[in-house]
Amino acid sequence: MTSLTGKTALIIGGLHPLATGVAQSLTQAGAQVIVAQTSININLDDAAVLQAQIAALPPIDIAIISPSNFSIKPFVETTDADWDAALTGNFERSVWAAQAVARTWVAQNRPGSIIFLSWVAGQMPHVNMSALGTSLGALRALAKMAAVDLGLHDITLNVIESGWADLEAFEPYLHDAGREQIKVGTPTLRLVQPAEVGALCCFLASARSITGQCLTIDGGYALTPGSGSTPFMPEHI
Amino acid sequence: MPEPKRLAGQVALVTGAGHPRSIGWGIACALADEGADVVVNDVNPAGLEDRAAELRQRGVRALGVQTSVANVEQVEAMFDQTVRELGYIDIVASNAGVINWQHFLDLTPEKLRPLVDVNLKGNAYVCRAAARRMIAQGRGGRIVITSSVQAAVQYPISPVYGATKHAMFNFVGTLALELAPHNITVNHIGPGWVRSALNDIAPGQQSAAEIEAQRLAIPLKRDGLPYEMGRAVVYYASPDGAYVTGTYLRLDGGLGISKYSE
Repeated sequence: MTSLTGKTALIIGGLHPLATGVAQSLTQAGAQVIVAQTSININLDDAAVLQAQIAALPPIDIAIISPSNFSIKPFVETTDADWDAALTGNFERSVWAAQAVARTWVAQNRPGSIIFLSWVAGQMPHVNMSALGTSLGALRALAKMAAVDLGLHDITLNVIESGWADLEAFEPYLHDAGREQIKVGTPTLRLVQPAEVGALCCFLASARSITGQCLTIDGGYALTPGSGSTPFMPEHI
Repeated sequence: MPEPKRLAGQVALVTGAGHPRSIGWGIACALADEGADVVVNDVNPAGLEDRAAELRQRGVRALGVQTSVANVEQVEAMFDQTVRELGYIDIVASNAGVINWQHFLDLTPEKLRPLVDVNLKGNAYVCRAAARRMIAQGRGGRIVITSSVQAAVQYPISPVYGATKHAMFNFVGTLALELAPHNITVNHIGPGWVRSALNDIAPGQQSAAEIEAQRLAIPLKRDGLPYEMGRAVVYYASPDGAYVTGTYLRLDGGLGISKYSE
């Protein structure tokens, strides 16, 4: 396990319990971990306020930012509110959080590592995930260009796209038939464990020459085409 | 003997088509030249009636409708008007888009907002309105979105614009999967450096020398023409494109694959 002794990590966003597992991995690696949802009050919807809040924090070295919206609905049924929620929750808030952290580090002349903790829908279209996939796709592209600009400040920015895991957001898909279909469609025949994603976070947080990359940790799920004519569906659709 | 028009009897709608030097206008002309009736839309009303009149001179029915694609009520009204006056909606070129330039650390909410509202939500509203009506009609449909070479290759000077264009891979892919059972294909085109009003020199952004350097960086050593973009949309909309969905066609003279060129 990579050592992060002496480092401080800030975790912002959703994807519970994935974020919880990542926090545990960072702690085991020796980092002090601040979980924004529980420890501090930050406003992700006001870029100026957020900038001040981040700048006021104790010095941090690692920022893990994850999406908070997982709208799952047929495209023709998506509402305007669905699109607002997905784009705000997954793209815009992540942009302002990363910018606030980066600006603080630049002002402090401090290197750092930003990780967008995303999901494989950012690279692979899924039925009923138009808003989700679009918002995560935008995020992965912005990350690359932000990384280009941040490189000269010794700030890395990468994206982790996780596959299926035991997450509350995906509960509608994790009925017995859905779990089986996911396993069959995943070469490793199992769901991703939060600790595995945590270990990848720890590695990226210390890898100073890896930046602007999207790393997929999904057991090979995104590699394989769908099987059968009917995609798996959540129980309520 | 003249070749038969491949889109005769079809009704098309093209957003962002009001300016005579726009990609949207090139698309509208190409569709009309293949016999489609065309609705030309733009957020700017100037010239819309002139555009519609020019299309009628090409022998098709045409309407000019002013709408902001970021306004869902206006979008729905535009589609209602199209079906009411022209009978159907068969082809939609969701082309309207905006661009601005700033590096990541300089990005402001005022810069981000129009890009998200037009390039992401606007496409969602237009394609949703199209899809619902095409499904109800039961005769299939063709949706072509104008993304950009920046869907594939982003530039640090326009991180949000590039993000909104790259997101079209996800958007188009998902729509292609969901609408395939209704025989509706969904694809996107990626124009590169096109001789359009959108790419006029932005004051203070680039010098003439920089513009020339940009042209020389394109392997085919020229900018693209709006009508060339339109011909690609015709392909997707025609019977030739009936088995093509979820794809991206880069129309950029090789710009997207050339870190360095001869």
